[in-house]
Amino acid sequence: MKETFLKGIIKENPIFVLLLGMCPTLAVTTTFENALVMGLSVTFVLFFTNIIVSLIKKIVPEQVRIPVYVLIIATFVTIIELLLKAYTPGIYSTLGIYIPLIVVNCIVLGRALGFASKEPVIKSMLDGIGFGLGFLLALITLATFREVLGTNTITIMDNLSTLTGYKMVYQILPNTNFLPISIFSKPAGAFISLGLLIGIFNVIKEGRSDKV
Amino acid sequence: MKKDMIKSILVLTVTALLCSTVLYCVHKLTQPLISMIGGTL
Repeated sequence: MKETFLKGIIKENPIFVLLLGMCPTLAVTTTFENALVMGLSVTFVLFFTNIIVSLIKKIVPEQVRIPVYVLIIATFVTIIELLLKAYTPGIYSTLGIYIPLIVVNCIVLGRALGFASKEPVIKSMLDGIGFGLGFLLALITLATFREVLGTNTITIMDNLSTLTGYKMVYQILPNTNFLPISIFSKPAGAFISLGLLIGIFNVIKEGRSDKV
Repeated sequence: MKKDMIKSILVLTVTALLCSTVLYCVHKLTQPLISMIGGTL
């Protein structure tokens, strides 16, 4: 069970190892807050989709597996979209098209078809949470890296302040010529940052597997 | 073969209906808030 949960965070991290869901990863990691909300949204969808798919796996015929699973994923994505639009309109307009795009995120359908449709409910649930957390942690790591270098600030809560009542936007290095390095805020910088972080992650992973 | 086809269509239809019902309920819950901020979905 522990292995199932941790697999999605380290060994098979969807961003740094499997390289899935690259489009939203590169697009929404401009600020920490956007990455946090996107990561939590995907975790929500993964968690509930895996549970439902695992529960109905014996009822669904082989011929209609994919349409049924896509229907279920689309339902949860629409629920998230409606909730974000109602409670955090600022975040909803910032994330824009990338919320509905969670439906076609390879991580979600991949886990539904490759794991949840074959395993029991508890294991599927843990797998969903594990992969969701792995995606979330990867997104916020990349977003922190890009935002600190690209804008010399970190936005923990800005659009979310309508919900929580707190605003948390901090400058990292005041009175400096070194920061910001604006390329890190741009798409090119997203690729550069992602490549660097994948390299660092692989080095750490290799180091850990050598020790074992 | 025919039995499989009927079962497939039935499962797909029931899933679609259930999903639509759930979404309708969530839509009804969130519609007042969305209207307040002047948006449409």
